[in-house]
Amino acid sequence: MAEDAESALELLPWSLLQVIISRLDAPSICAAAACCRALRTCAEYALTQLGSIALVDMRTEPAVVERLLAGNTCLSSLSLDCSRMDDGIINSITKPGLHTLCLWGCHQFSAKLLCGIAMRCSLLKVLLLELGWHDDRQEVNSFSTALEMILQRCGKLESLTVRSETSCFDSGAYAAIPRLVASGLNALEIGYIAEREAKHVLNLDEAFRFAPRASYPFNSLEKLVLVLDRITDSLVGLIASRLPLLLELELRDGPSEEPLLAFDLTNWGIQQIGSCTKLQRLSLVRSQDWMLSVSFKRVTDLGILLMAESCSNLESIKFGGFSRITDTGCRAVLHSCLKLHTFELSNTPQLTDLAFHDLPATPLGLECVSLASCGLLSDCSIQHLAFCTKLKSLNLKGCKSVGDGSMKAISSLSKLEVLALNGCDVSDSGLSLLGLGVAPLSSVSLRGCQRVSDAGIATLLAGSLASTLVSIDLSAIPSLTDNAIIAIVRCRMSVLQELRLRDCHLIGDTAVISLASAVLKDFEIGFGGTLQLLDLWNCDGVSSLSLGWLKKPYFPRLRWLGLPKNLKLGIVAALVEARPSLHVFTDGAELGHMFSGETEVIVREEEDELERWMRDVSP
Amino acid sequence: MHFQGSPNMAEKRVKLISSDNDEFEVDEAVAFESETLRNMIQDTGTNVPISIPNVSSDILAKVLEYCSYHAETMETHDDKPPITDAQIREWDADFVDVHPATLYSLILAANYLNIKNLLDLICQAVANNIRGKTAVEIRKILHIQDDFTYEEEMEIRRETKWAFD
Repeated sequence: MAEDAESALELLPWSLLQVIISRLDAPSICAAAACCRALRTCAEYALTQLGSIALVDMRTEPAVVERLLAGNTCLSSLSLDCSRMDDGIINSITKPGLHTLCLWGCHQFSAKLLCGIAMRCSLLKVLLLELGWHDDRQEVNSFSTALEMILQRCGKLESLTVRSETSCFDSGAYAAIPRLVASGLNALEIGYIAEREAKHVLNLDEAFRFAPRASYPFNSLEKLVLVLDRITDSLVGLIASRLPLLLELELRDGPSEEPLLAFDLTNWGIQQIGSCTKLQRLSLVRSQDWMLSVSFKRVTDLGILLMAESCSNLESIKFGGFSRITDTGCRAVLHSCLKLHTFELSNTPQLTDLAFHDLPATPLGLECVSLASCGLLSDCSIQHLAFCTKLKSLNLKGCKSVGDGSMKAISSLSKLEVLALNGCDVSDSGLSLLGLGVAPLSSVSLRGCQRVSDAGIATLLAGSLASTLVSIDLSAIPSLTDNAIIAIVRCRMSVLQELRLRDCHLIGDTAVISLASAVLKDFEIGFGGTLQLLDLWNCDGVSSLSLGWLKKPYFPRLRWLGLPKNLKLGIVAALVEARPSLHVFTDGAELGHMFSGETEVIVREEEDELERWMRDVSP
Repeated sequence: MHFQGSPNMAEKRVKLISSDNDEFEVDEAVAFESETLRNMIQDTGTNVPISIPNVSSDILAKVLEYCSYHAETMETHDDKPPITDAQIREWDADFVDVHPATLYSLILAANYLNIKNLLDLICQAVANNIRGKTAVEIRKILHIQDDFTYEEEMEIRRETKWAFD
């Protein structure tokens, strides 16, 4: 019966095929359409009935989007990577029935995009816009007017996110936000916005300054995210006193020079946060992108202690750049906030092992711990941290004194999936312990671990990790050679998607060729397996010979590729042309998902299918 | 062939005849999983064998296997622990792990016999087989014949050419 050709899929009644097809996402439907006639008619109808389309993290052609959206009347949710699109697509994507619209990388659009959304999408509940930057005064004006229009016309908004590299808007553009909050907006994210303008948006009218708390229009806001030029006491004080119901507060800045006392965060400001008693997630980060020495120098343990005592509901704390916090402050947080599951403390150079020595005595069930660049921590801290058996993610970037002594404790964490050991003092023997452990790691970073060699990689993968690792970062390991890559290929890593080898000067063509010729028998997808990201920046041994192995049909799922700069431009350009949906970088940029942290709106598998579908129908 | 439901429901048995004239005898509760059979039984009673002319023996056997398992899961026994949802899901996953051609016959049978849960299960299984695959892979996995003419093939490529320039 099994081989009975009569009972074939295409012979099923149309209504049954429709039931099957309607359970698929857009890219899968497209792939099905290219299979046979029956599926094609079915798929064409199904595409018009789709309620949700997500094509992010991939360089999607405008024409693809136009075709997918044409005729669809049911669409309520659309997420798009717009980096290859411009104003021409506006009419196609501003569908009147949309409830959710997330547009990433809108660098080439003019203010007409915002006007189009305002005019046609009045039912929006969730709006996310990632815009480029504008220095032209006139453009800022037109963008401001257009945003104002959106805020006035889309009265049902519940979540608004406006991201840009510099401020695209005057503060006047946000004038309608208080009214929106009153009518249901509960999540607001603006970045970048100048601190002065942010205060203006929140403070709005001088009249509110002296009005009773309850009448303040921002009362019901639950989530506030701001990317600022500087975080100041007055801004934090304003937020804390005016937004009592806040559940989530995230503030980031990256000043290019040391702020003056009047324009900085001090103990007073951080203590004010304590009046948001419902706060569950708090993130305060001063990034050192612009200048290495900037940090919250005016916040000490005292401020943290007072804040932690009143915010006992906190579940997630992310502090970046609090250089004066010591063990006392860290322990104050760990012992007051007993609901904590995420704890991140980066660039806190004074933190020592004493901060964690009595951690096993607390009832904390930490799941996510990040202690990046806390250079004084040693194996002792990590052994204490490993008492949190629920740990899923552990980031020890730049903890130079952490080494092989921690590996046994780490390898016994049965839920640990993400481990970053960048720049740690790990050697091959530590890696072999990790390879033998029970931790079901899906992502491991060994970037800059100087003592690791080829043999260490082989022993790391000798056990069960070969079948669980999705991402592995072996960048900047000086003694790494092609043999390590051959070991990776030999291990048949069945789910490996990301491989980073940047700044490994001994890696050469042999590595690329052996990766390209790795055929996974279980998957039957051709050459190069499941790899989606390959970073070869500064791999001096990689020559033009490798480029031939990066073409189709090798690496069929590859979407991100970093190449060394010594390659001939013409050949690289030819590769770019041959694989239009591949992001190729020759400038040393870090590869990866542009839209990280937005996983709730991204269905990553989907765009992958579309790419494969495109690849498939290409001549 | 006999399919046992639960022993305490064994009073009423129903006879079913497949397209190739094999006779199946099942508990009424098992047959009642199918809306179509339920209606027929209510019309004609359990004395007359019910013929199912468009379902072959092997497919009917599979369908009845599904029905008797799921009729059983509905029962509550004092002596046995109840079957958990996870166990049912596992059983279902094993059940649909068959050749695509069998799946299609099962879809048709489930559709005719109006067994909503079975139809649901198999449609989802076929959809899962399609998800994340290329056209070539889908054809291979689901045994689909490429029935496009050369002109149509060219048209598809022309239509989708925008994806490449």
